[in-house]
Amino acid sequence: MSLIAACIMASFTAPENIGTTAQSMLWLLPLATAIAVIYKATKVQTITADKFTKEALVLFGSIIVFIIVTALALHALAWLITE
Amino acid sequence: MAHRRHENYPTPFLLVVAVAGWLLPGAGYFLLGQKKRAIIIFVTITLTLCTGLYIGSIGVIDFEGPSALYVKAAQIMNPPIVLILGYHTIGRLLFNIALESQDDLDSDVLSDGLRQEFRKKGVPLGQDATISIGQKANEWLIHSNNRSYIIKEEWNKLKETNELNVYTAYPVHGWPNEIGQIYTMTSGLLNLLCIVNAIYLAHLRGTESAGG
Repeated sequence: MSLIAACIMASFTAPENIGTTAQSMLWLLPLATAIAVIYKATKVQTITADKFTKEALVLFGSIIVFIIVTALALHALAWLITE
Repeated sequence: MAHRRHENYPTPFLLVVAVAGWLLPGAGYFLLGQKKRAIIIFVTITLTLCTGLYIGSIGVIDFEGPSALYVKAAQIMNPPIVLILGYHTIGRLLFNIALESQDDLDSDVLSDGLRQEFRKKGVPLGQDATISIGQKANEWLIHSNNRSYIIKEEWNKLKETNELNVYTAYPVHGWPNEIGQIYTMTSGLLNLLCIVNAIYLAHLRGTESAGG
């Protein structure tokens, strides 16, 4: 096994150091992208680059907006309860 | 609307589409001649799974661990590579150490005796090695040189005595574990969605409207 291959394999045997910070929320972006792409890949009748990209982007945006709205609502609720 | 099944789309073909889709993401669509869809699905699901494994390590695939059943059920919908990973993360027996070492395991610091036991087996522990109590009773976890080992006290049927077995371990906790599990679960569920959709497309192709 080459050194590069060994290094790549090794990077999958130890977890990354991710703290409970606001930045760690950014990990939801790749996940939302994957969900939007796969969902649209199963739903679009014929796949063309521009149509597929547009539809996937709209769904991605919808997911993110919904998450932000939900987060704001929960934050407001928590503020009302604790204040 | 009445439907009639074509003879050139037999029911076993649906099964082949399903199995192919599970073995390789997007392969079900590939069999149906939808290559673009197949490539998009293969790349996206593989990247999602790999991202999860990179964040949380292969330790997030833990079929024997305390993870909830829905986590394991979702992860198993990934391609069969997760079964291989799951087999490895369960832990492979490396060697066993003297039962007398049990007293040393219960202490917070690694004793010289325990270090010597590992050195004898060709696994020297580093100076920064740590020891902690495992998730189950009579289990200990040793972390050294970016590798982890789990020691279990187990009953040996042949020798009719207890022994301390050392296994490989890939422990992951906290935020990386949760994010890794979410990614691997999502890739599994997305793969399931693609399998079901590919079967449905194959079914639609196998039927034709009659009289209308």
